[in-house]
Amino acid sequence: MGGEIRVDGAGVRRLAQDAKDVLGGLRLGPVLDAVQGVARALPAGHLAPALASCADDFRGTLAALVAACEAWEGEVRGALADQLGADADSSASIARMMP
Amino acid sequence: VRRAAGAGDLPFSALLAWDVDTLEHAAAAVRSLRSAVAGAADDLGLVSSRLDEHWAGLAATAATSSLGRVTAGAARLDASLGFVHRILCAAEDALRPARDLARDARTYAEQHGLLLNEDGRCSPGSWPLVDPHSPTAHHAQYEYERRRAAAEQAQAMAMQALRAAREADLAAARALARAWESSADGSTWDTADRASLSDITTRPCPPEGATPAEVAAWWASLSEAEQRELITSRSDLIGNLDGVPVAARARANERRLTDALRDARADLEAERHAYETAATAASSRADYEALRPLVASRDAAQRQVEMLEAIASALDAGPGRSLMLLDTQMPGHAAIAVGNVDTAAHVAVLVPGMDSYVTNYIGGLADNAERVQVMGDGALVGSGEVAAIAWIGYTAPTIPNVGVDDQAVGAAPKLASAIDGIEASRAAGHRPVHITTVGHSYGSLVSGLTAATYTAMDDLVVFGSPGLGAGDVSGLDLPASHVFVGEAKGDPVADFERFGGVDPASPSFGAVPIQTDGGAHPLGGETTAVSGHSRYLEPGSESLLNIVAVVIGRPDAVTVGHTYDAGDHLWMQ
Repeated sequence: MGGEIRVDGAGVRRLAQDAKDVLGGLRLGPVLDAVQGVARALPAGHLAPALASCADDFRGTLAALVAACEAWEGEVRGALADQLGADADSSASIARMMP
Repeated sequence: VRRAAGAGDLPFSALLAWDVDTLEHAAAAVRSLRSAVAGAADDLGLVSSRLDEHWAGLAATAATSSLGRVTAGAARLDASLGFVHRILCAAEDALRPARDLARDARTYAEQHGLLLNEDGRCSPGSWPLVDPHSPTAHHAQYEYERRRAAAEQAQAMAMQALRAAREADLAAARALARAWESSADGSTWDTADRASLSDITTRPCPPEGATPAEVAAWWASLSEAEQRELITSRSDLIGNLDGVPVAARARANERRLTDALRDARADLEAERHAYETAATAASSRADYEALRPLVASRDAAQRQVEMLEAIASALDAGPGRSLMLLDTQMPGHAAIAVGNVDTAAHVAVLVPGMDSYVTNYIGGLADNAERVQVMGDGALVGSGEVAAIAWIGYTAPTIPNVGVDDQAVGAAPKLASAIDGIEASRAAGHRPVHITTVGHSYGSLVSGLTAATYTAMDDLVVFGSPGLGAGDVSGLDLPASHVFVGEAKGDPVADFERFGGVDPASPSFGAVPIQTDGGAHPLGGETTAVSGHSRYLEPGSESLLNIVAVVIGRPDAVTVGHTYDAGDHLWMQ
């Protein structure tokens, strides 16, 4: 295994922040609330609870994706710190063999 | 359904009150969710693709891979939301007609003074407590039968609405569970999911033997798209299904007729070719003997073409004609409607007698139906208010078997089903219809036997009748004032007294006698007399105007009175 290590800290940090904001900034709660409102307005039967559960499930899935993005952004920051030390916005280009 | 524990079947009152538009709102909300999630998945993909511009190495590879999993999760969510959107649209498509049908059922029941229970059932109430020998017993029984039929119709509509709604409700809930499972386990939707979508809107065809009321309710529970699809894909079923509106049946049947005619002409061509080839090569007695079956096959193919061409010609011979029944099996059965049976206030069903086959008579009978329709429609009542049907839905007898009622006994349930189908197909649209059966000769026996069991027939007019299969009018399930009998001078068949043992034109039978010998008529000035057995529908005749008077619901305009002939003088003695 081997190859070039090239890192533009500022650019990577900006992209990581973008990724975190993409899902975190969606603000889908009100729309999901609307779906659940419809589910409550449906007559008793099978569809009403299924739609309410579906909205819950999607809310949970979205939250998990948001959390995954946040975690990813944290991991990227950690990796940048490992590679660039204290000055995470610096750049480096090092050609070396990896162990 | 995984997360629908505790959910129950939809109650009727809930279906009635259902604001189906809320599903449209939910679908719109899901669409906006999907749009947001799809945009996010695209943005994450963009981040991933741009990352290698700024970062290379093992850590970068690991980060790109990790972000790819998140992006894939967002893409799956997008796909599942798309599926949910389609589920909600399908549920709306299925539930709206079901809810509308439930409301139609309630309105129909209320119009007949009936109530639907919470489970969709409808009771006609108790049997009338009337002395069976009292003069009012017959009428009381008739009124009860009307109420019972209305209760059956309302119940069929309500039960079908409930069934359709419950099936769609359950299928939509199941599909939603699948949508979530697909998203959660990483799979994408597949054929099974698409099938689950189609389960929401698909209403199984009614079973064989379903009543016209059940068929009509089933049809009304379908979306317009499903109806169109069935007319195309199941024209063989829809074309002759009593309870389906005539316009839909006609579209199916006219497609079937085109196909059948094309096939029959091709068969005839092949049969002719086979015969001519064999005939040209024939040189021995055995060869000529072998031609016999070829001749028979060729002639049968010829008759088949002639029968179908007779229908096609009759359809094309006048405006506003549609094919509401088509049976291509020889000797063939067909019914041609003139005018709009689905909307007309008054519908006449003309039932012919002996020797009336599709090949030789559908054109003539359709012309007769047109005469009745044109005389009433727009002239005596509003435009579009009268329709007439030339009905050859049974195999008429010929001379050898005209003296027995076998053909009529077999035909009566078919005519009853046709009549009940017209009534039932209009119940959902709240379009009450007045139906008159006009039976001639042996067709009057078919009509009489049909009227002997309760149907949606409101009036019965018979001419040249050899008997109605009943000893008097009480043997029919119609009030005496709704049974009209005409006889022309010189019509020997009208005095046969063959079926039921009584001449229905005689006073003892108890029907309303109709004059046929011409004179001033309340509906149209001077009329002409008819004579013989086959001229009752002659233009300008008193008999035709009297038939039309009954058909348009104007019994007050019928010229009442016996026309006595030789046979009548015998029973008068």
